[in-house]
Amino acid sequence: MRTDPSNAPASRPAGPAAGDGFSHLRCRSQRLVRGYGLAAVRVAVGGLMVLGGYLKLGLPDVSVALGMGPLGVMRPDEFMAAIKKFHVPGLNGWAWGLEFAAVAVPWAEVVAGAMLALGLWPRAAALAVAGMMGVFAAGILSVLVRGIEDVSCTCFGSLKLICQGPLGACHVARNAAIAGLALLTVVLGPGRGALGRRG
Amino acid sequence: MNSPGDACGSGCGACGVPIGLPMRTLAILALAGVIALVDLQVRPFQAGIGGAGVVLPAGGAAPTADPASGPSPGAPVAGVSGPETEAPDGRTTLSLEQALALYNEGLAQFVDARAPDEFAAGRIPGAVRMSPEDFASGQVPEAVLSGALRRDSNVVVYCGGGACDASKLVARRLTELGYQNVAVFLGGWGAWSSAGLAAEEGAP
Repeated sequence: MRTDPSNAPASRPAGPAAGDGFSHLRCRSQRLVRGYGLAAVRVAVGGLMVLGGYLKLGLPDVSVALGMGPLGVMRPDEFMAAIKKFHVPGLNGWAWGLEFAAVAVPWAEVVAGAMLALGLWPRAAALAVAGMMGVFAAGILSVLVRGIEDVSCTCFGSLKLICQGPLGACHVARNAAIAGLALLTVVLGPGRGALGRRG
Repeated sequence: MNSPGDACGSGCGACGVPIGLPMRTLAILALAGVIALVDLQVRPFQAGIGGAGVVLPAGGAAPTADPASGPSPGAPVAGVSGPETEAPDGRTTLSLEQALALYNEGLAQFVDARAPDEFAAGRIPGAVRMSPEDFASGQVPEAVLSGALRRDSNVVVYCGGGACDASKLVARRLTELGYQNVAVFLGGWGAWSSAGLAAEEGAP
């Protein structure tokens, strides 16, 4: 069975000759940093995706229930209105396709994000996240290039995360950065604490 | 597989990428698609904006372009009722004639959901401006906070007309804030202005 190096037990020396105390310690610390670092990235990116999807599904605002004020939950029809403004070729004239997209995209974010955060099929989930964020970044870039105005990102529902103001380069960069972080999991593995290390 | 000089044997993560990775990725997306299909069946995509619906004046009123016959904002609904249109998705919608009847009888407050520059260029007299963005991140528009838009009155929301969605979104948000009688004037400003009806412009 293949083992992800970043998940290897920290106490097991590998590489340098056993007994080389200094090298052993250095390698141990490297593995720890790498393992926990990758886990932090995985959980952070997965959590962001779950949040982004949840905020677009029109589900009850748990933040309000907890007495912390509204998060800015968006309903699917509001998200659909936002999708329409992107003028995806062939989509605006297809009512069912629009409705499905308005519900399927948030669910894809929630499912892939949750699997990534938990480490279930982590690489596949990370690839799905990277793909989605890449498509979103390309879509925003397309809107900017085509000069379409009055378009909201709605990437995180009504919540303005990191990027304020109208749709712009910040949104492209943010989504591309999230895609890049997800690719770290694809290439380097899920790090420590993943429930499933395969896939 | 270790890269040359990798003394710690941290390994090549990419070398461990499973062959079935694309299939698993597609499986995850397919799972989301199935959940979305079930969600579409379980939750009506466009639930009605709720509320008891706008009560129209009996018999309606003849169209008029007389600005002097404008509404008395906030007038409570009398015990009259009339034809109410309900769209297939359950949302209460009004035709031009119905909106005009409410306007002439002073039985409704109008909400303009268009952009500020459009609002300033021309609007239904007495309308207050409120766009979907005003509700972003849980904000509550000033007209709601100040009580200028009364919760016990009929509220008619409109936007540019045609395919615009802003009026529906604002209507939904107002319903969530406790407004009971909210309707959408589908023809919006486009139908109103084309009919040559009363208008005002400039800052409110």
